[in-house]
Amino acid sequence: MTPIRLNYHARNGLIFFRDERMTATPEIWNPDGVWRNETCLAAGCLPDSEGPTMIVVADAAEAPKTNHLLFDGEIDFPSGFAVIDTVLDDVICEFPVAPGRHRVRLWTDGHKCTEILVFGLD
Amino acid sequence: MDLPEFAAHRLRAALVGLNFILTGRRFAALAAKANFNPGQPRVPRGNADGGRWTKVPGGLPVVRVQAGPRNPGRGRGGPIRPGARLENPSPAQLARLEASRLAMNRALGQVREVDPRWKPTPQIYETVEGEIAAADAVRREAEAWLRELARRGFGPGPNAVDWLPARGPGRDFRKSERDEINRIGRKYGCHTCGTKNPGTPSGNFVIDHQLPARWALEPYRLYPQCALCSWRQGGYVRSMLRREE
Repeated sequence: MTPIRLNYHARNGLIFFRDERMTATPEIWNPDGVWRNETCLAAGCLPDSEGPTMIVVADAAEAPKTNHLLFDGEIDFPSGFAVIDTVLDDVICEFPVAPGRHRVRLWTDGHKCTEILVFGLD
Repeated sequence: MDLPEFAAHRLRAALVGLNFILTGRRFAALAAKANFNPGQPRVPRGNADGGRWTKVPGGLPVVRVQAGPRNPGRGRGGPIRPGARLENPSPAQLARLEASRLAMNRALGQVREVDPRWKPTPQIYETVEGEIAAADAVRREAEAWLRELARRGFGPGPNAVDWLPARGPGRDFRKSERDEINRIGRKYGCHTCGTKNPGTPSGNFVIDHQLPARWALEPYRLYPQCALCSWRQGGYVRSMLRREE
């Protein structure tokens, strides 16, 4: 896939990486900074009042990895489209993926309110 | 018309009349069984309760606890009155009922300021004591939901002491506003959980609109919030948006 790189002021400091058709939101309660269900990965980032968060999506092999791997697991994309959106459903970007389960890894700068989110897909 | 034909007509007329009388008796028996009193006064047309029974003749007003939609047939909403069963409450019962209704309506009003779509569990009752218990149950449920909403960062939390008026729903905060929110946060803590550690890299508290800008009617208030409570609130706001769809 073509790498995506953008800066975004995320309301409530939350970004959702999910299947386009599946809208179930993971339970956001623990303080880990990352929450998931079958079809959605939610990640904490810099609150919008603090500044923009850099979001990168790329094939895991090409992703600009950091030293802090926050998440390594599988997310299902049955529709064949992945979406990154916000608390208020504002779609930041969407792109095609092969339908089915994908290994997704998430790297951050190590802070709970990270200034960079790198999503790597396999 | 010859005689046999005339007699047949008379016989048919008699049968129709007899059938009418029997139907009327069946209706009267049903009405008596249902405690129906056609002389009982009704609320005049034009009122919200227009057409409903208002008083037992010579008795006290009918009391009714209501919450949520008026149409109980929808199966949602607060207490409903299942039938037309009436009783004469004592003055003490009336006073307790009125107090319960006031407390219930106050709690429902507070919840609906934050979550206008919330509905209490429907209640069914047949007596005044049942109505009082129903109103108390709805009040307790509303208060519990209010606590839960506050725990999720919805509405001013238990530590919301001081706040700042917002200029609007926008997020273009001035330095003076940020400084003031940080001052309030350092003094009283996150309005939701009370922590004085905002959890952000800069040490600034998250500036939180209350109610969340998606639902608030102006004026907005700004409160200091920690990053974790902001996340939780965001997750809940998103879930509520899904619920709306």
